[in-house]
Parts: sequence; C-alpha cells; structure tokens
Amino acid sequence: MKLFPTSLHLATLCLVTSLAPFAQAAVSADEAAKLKTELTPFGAEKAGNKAGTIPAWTGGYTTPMPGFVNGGKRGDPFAKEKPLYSVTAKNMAEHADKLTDGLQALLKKYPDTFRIDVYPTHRTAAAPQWVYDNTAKNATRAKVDNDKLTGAFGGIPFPIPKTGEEAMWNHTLRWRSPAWHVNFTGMQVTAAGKQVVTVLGSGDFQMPYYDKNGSADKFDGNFWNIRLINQGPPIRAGEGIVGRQNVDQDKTQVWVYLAGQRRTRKLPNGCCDTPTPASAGVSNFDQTDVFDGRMDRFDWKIIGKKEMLIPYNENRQLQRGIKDVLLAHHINPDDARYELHRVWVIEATLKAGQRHVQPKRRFYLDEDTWIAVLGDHWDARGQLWQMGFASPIVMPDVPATTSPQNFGFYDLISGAWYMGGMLNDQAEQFKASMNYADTTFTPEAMAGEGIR
Amino acid sequence: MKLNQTCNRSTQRLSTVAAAALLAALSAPQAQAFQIDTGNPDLKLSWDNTLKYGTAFRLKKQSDVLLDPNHDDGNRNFNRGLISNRIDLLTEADVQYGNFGARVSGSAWYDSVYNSDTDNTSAFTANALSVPYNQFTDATKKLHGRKGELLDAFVFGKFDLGGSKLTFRAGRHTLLWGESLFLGGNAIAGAQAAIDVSKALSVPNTPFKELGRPTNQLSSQLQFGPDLTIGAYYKFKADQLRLPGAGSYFSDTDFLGAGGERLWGPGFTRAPDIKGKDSGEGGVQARFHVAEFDVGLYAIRYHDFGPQLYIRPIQGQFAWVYPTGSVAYAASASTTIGPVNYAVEASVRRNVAFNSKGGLDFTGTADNSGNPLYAIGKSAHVNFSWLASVGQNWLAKEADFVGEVAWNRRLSVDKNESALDLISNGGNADYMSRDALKTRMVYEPKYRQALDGLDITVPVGFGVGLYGNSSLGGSQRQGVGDMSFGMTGAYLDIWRFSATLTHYFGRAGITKYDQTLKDRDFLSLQVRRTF
Repeated sequence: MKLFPTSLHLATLCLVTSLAPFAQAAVSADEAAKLKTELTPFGAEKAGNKAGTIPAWTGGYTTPMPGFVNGGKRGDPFAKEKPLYSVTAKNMAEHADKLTDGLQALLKKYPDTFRIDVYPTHRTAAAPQWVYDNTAKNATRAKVDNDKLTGAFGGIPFPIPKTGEEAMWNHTLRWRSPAWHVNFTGMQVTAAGKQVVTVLGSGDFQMPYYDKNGSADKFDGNFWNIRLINQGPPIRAGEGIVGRQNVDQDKTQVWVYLAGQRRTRKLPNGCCDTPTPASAGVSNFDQTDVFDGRMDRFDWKIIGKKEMLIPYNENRQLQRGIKDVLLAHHINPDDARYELHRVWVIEATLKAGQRHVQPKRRFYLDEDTWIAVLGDHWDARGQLWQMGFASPIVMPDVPATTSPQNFGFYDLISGAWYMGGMLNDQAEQFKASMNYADTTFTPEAMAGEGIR
Repeated sequence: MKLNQTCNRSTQRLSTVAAAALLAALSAPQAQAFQIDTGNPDLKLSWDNTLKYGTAFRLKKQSDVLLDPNHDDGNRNFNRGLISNRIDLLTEADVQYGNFGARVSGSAWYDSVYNSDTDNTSAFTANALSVPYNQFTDATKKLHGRKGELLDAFVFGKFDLGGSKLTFRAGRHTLLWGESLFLGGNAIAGAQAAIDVSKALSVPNTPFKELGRPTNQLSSQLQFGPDLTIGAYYKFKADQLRLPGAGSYFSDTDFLGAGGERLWGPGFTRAPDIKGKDSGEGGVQARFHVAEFDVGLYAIRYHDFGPQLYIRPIQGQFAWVYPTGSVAYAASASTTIGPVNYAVEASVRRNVAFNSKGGLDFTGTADNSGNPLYAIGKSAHVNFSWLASVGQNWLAKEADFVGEVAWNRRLSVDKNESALDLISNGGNADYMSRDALKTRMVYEPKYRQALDGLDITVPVGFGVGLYGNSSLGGSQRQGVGDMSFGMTGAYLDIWRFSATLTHYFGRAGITKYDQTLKDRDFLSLQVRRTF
C-alpha cells in the first residue's frame, strides 16, 4: 500500500509544534534604501568582484531568445560558450575554497566520470518592476514570528536578511512566475546505477503570493498552489494531488485523488526527515527543492557570503534527452554548467531536544535569485551524507532565472540519487504566466475531472 | 434448519473486503498509462494492460464446527493446500480531446482450481443441484474460474460557465462520496456502489478501481468557486454485491451468491432473486471549505446491495431479496493536524432493512417494496477515520498508520418488528444489539531500497468487532475479526509482488455472530506488472 503516492513538492508541508517564539524585526528605511543604490532590487551586491570573475549586475538577462514560444522548448542563450576551465579530482585542491563539501565529495567518489565545467559568469537574474517594488516594501514590513511569516507579499520577503531563517524564507518565496505549467519526469537512480521513473507528471502551479493585482492586506497566506496529475509510472498512473502551501505551515493543505472512486481525501502533512514517496524515498520531505518546509527544528545561522562554483544558467541541461543527461552515478558533466557566483552560506544546527536524521546542514543561496542551489547534509555521526542541488534556468520571457522544480539529490554514502522535475523529454518546458481559474487548485475540481 | 442465520451475510464481508479496499483506496493503481503519441497536443490517448498472477494456500484443515450442511461446501471443497492458481488481466484505455473524452476498461481471469473437481467427499451435504457433489456449479466456475467483463465504459466532459465549472460523466462508472476508508458499508459510499466481494477475497490487494462495481449512471458537478461545489448523480441500474460463489473458498453460505441452488433441511430450491428496480436511486451533495476543514452534506436514495432471505414453504423455494428505497442524510468533515488527517462522517437513514429472520412467505406475494417481510426502520451511523504519516522511529524511517472506527444504532423499527433477528438460533443467547462498534486498521512500515532497486513494505492489518452485534449488515460480533501480515515489494517500480498471511479469529460457528471462516486461514502470493 502506498499511502501518499504523489506528494511531490507539496510534500514539503510539515507540521511540528513550534517552540521559538521571538519575532524578527524588519530593516530600517535607511537600510532598505540601499536596494536602490549599492544593492540590486533583490538585495545582492550590484558590483562585480575585484578579480573580475564576477561581473556587475546590470538588470539581468531579458533579451528574448530567438525562436522561443511560450509553451515550447527553452533554448540555451549561452550554447556557444566554452568552459573557462574544468575542475576534476586531480586539480580540485586548487579550487577547494570555491567548492562545497558535497561537490568535493562527488569529485572524489567518481574521479573518472565527474567533473565541473566552469563557464563565464552571467548575472541573469531578473524580475518585473512590480516584483522589485514589492521587495522594497517587504524590506521594512516583513517579519518571521514563531516560524510564521507575516507582512510579506509579491516580492523577496527579506532582501536584506538578518538571520538565516529570513534568508531561507527568501528561497522559499523566490520569484518564479505567478503561474506555470510543466510536464516532467522524476528519475531515481539506484546505487548500482539502475534508472527508475518515479513520476511522469503534468503539473500546474500558481503563486498567489505573486499575484500582480494582490496586496499584502488581502493575502491569505496561501503562497503556493499545486496540482499534479500523474500519467505514470505504473504505481502512480491516474493519481492526482492538489495542495495549497501556506506561510503558516499549520494551514497548509494537501488532497489526493483516489483512483477508481472519483473522490479525494485530505492528506497528512508530511514533514521534515520523513522520506518523500515522490523521490522513491531517496530524499526527505524537507529536501525538496534543496530545502522546503518547516524550519523550527533548527537554529539557522548566516555564516556569510562567499564566491562559490554553483550550477547556473543551466539551459544547457534541458537540451538533450534524459538518457543522455543522466549517467549511472550523476548528471553528465557535458550537460552541466557551473559558474562562479556569490552565495549566502546558511548553516542549520539541530535545536536541543529536537530530532532530525540530519542534525547539521549547510545551504548555499545564490545572492541574485535566492535559490538554494546547493545543500549539504551531515548525519548524526558528523559524516557528510547527502547533497541537494538545483538547476537554475534563464527565462528572459518571464523574466526570471529560476529552477522550475528541477532539483536533485545525491546520497554520497549509498550512491543512490534522484533527479526531479526533468523537462528534457518534453515538447514544452516551463510554460509561464498562465491564467488559472480560481477553482483549479481545489480537490473538488480534481474529483470532478478525474478519469481513472 | 437455520434460516435465520443466513441473512445479510454479505455485508459482513465488508470487514475482509475492507482490507482490500483500504489498500486500494490509498494505493496507487498499478497500471502505467501507456501514452500514445497522437501528434496533436489536444488529443490524448492511453492504453495499458496489467497482468497478475496469484496463488493461495489453505493453512488449516476443516473444523467440525463449521461443517453444517448449509454452510460447509466452501469448506469441504478445499483441503489444506492450493486454493487458487489464478491469472488476471486488466486493460484500460482512455481518450481525451480537449474538454471531452471517453474511458473503457475491462478485466478477465482464469483460475485452474475452479476449473477442476473439488475436494468434497460429502455427497449428502452438498447443496448444488445441477452438478455432482465434487464439482463446482457452472455459475461458481465461471465467476471464479473463467470470466471476462466490462468495467468502465463512459464519456466525460467539462464546461466553463463563466465563474463556475460543470463536469459530467455518463455511462458505466463508479462514484463514491464521503470520507470513509475501510468501513464504507457503514458510510455514504456504501449507499452508492456495490463492491466485488468475491474478487477482493480471491485476489488480495486488488485496487479499488476493480472492486467498486461500475454501474450505468449519470453524474455531474457544478463548482461555483473554490469553496462551494454541488454534485448529483442518478443511477440507471440496481446493483447487488458480487458475493463469493457458493462453494468457493470464502463462501460460508451454500445457498447464497452465484451457484447457490438449494437450501438443505427442507431441500428448498432457489427462486429468482428479487432485485431493486433500475430506477429510484440517486443523490445530491454539497462540498465546501470552512477554514482548513473539508465539509460535505449529502442526501441519497438507494436500494440495498445486500440481500435478505425469504422462504416459500408452499412452493418449496427460497429467494434472495434486495430491499429498496432507503434514504440517507449525511454530513462529513475532514481536517489535517500535522502528520495526521482525521475525518468523520455521520448519517441518519430511514427505510433501511435490519438483519431479519428469514421471512416465511406462504403466498409467494412478499416483495421488496410494498409488502416486505423483513424489519424496516431508522438508523444512525458514524464513521471516524485517520491517516497518519509516521516519521522516523526505531522500526522504520517511514510508515503509514491508517484506520477507521464505525458505529451504528437501530433508532426505531417502523415495520415488521417481529422479524428482527433479535435472538439467534437455538437460544444461543446471541442478541442482535441496538448499537454496534467495530474497527479496522493497518500499520505499514516501509523500507526503501532494501536491496538495489527494491522497495519493501510490511503491512500489518487488524479488524475486529469492538462492541455489540450490529442490526445492520456492516458490523461483526464483539471479538470476531481477522488479522493479516504481509510483505509487499516493488522492483524498479515495474514488478510488484506480495505475500500475505491472513488469520481469522473469534468464536468459530456458522451464525452471523460467529467467525465463520475460523478454519480458513490462508497464505496468498502475487506478482504483477504492467505492459
């Protein structure tokens, strides 16, 4: 019996009694004014680095891609570029300060097949002006209180974060598009390198948090709506799931469609270190999208900002078929693109009295987009265990540089891994800015339209 | 003669069926939709086939207590050892063009055990008339041994009406409302569809989509916005539970179900069943959301899916009668608190048939509407269920814990009170009670990647009557139930297999207050994949 067959990203939803009731204060108006001067509208350092290896941010990449049709394939604007250099197991020591522990472990574990091709850095992150305007407003009004977010709407909630928790909320509420549709494949690869399709899905997504016509006053806290209908694999055909994720995770709701009965049932909210069925149990609920869900089991600390090699502008990875892109133990290095970017390094340490199989975790958030692009997880013995990654895609039509559910996960001990939300074999790759009826994300609509 | 023990056995089956229904309810179906590339993004075609092989073994020999002449054929027909050797095919095809489409599905099976002679050596207690004592009747052979049937066959569509949305399905399909998981017989769902009791028992873990019997109906819903939806359906066919064929392994009543031909004692023969009319069944529902609660209100008129017994001494016949025209009013609510979802459903019903003694019909004029012989009245029902996602603990990294409790009460008897099966046979001091309570639950730890590419789960299930002997079909005697220990495996999410040991407990006996399957413990093995 599979209880929660399709939970996918939704699955992020978790509920644990919260214990840390102190409010975070927003920044002053003076400090927020920097968003119009030395900082980008999202709070990154506008200037490039001294070495010239990171350029200044000049508004992001908004040039339309030739031949692109919304609802079609997404090309690679940097297809003609060649790697500046490659990091391999042999030369990794020279680049160690730019490599996460997880990437170093991969290089050591698969010295013959894994390498990191580093391309020129492009600071492509962009968003519409109204998102920037909302971000400026959020800077002085958003608060986190007892793991619940208030006062934020329509932009990055904490462009000038003071705590690790605030930075992680920026990741959770990162700009993607108000709504989008993807058909995708989730692939699990076993330790021995066998590939297993865990989900073939059709997903509709909406972020009421990014409703251009909405406002902080009217926002009811449901920031992310999702509807997934599964065409496969065997175990999940005909299943469906609808969910509404709330900034107050106690109010998050998920329903599953029960095939053969044409009705739905509300689900428990899976949480934290419980494995997600969608990844065939390889990754846990809070490792979806590198990190998602409740933060209240951990203390979150900003370690600082650092220049690191991270997956970026990964349109390259969308171009070939899944069978070419996935090797036995990792993504084909030929299809991956790494760049040097400044990242926020956020460390999570398990609070006293709390339990989690990964008591220490470190996340790397791209300064321009707030995407948690890489995440390392240690086990209770202090051994590096798992590594999550996202693959940000440039989408000038949105405009955004974002990761449309394509995230993955390496178990550095067992060798098993997972790649979710793959758009490679689809004719349509992230159709953005749809208009969904307000009935779309309801269990009743799913029950009414259910076929199987 | 034990006429009064036999009625409504059918619904007792729901307890065992529940195990299968549960799996199904929450289980993803096994079929992989094989998408056919049409070259047109608006036209979607899929077709897939699931092949299953299953075998099962009886573990105990026959108990003398369970060899009453009218309740022994299913028992005597199978000695210890092989009781099923079966292959099943499920085929499904969907086509969708824009907002409209159609779906057809069907299944077929063959079981070598039912295509052979039985182990029965008791010529004088066999109830079959049409065949010798050591053979299955044609009806039982067909139902269990070789049959193909259409399941779904319907068209569907949706219309956007400004701010609201209308969807419909017309044709053979199953539709269930409410929140029940296992004990649907006591819930709204139990008023909507008959289930295939026979298949659920024969093929453990059959997905619910093959258990709920599809029926000809028109169903539709109108959604006014995110928070209010109205739904309705009307059925064009009266349905009956598909019970195990007489003489099949799980049959405990030799004159009930397909192939049930003769009642020993008087040696009465079976007259045609008196079924409900193919009209007069339908329902309406309203679903809405209040904060984080899903709320539903329902009104349903239905014909009973389980039968009552009439005896016609003058004609020398008996007949199975399906009561008609029951009405249920119900409400449901469901919410999630952290890792647990809770749901409750309550209904009051009128014109329901209570468990009754076999009605003596001297004139042969009793029926299932104006002139019934069984007791009819009002009842109340409550189901409470939970789905829990169990996190990391010493036993497993993840587990599901799912269960349900069902209660019902005989509120009043409006007709034929004397027919109530208040005291069971032989002054056994077994009373049918006014209130009854039962439960069923399953705990299932999961072990992902136990071996490379292999996921394993270990479901342990348990169902038992907690209190009372229900006046309605759905509950068991206090202390009577079953438990199962299983192991399921999935290899690369393509091959699935299971092994399940089922044990029946409670006092052995042949009345509906006993455990009639006490000596029927069995082990089943199954493997399946989709092509």
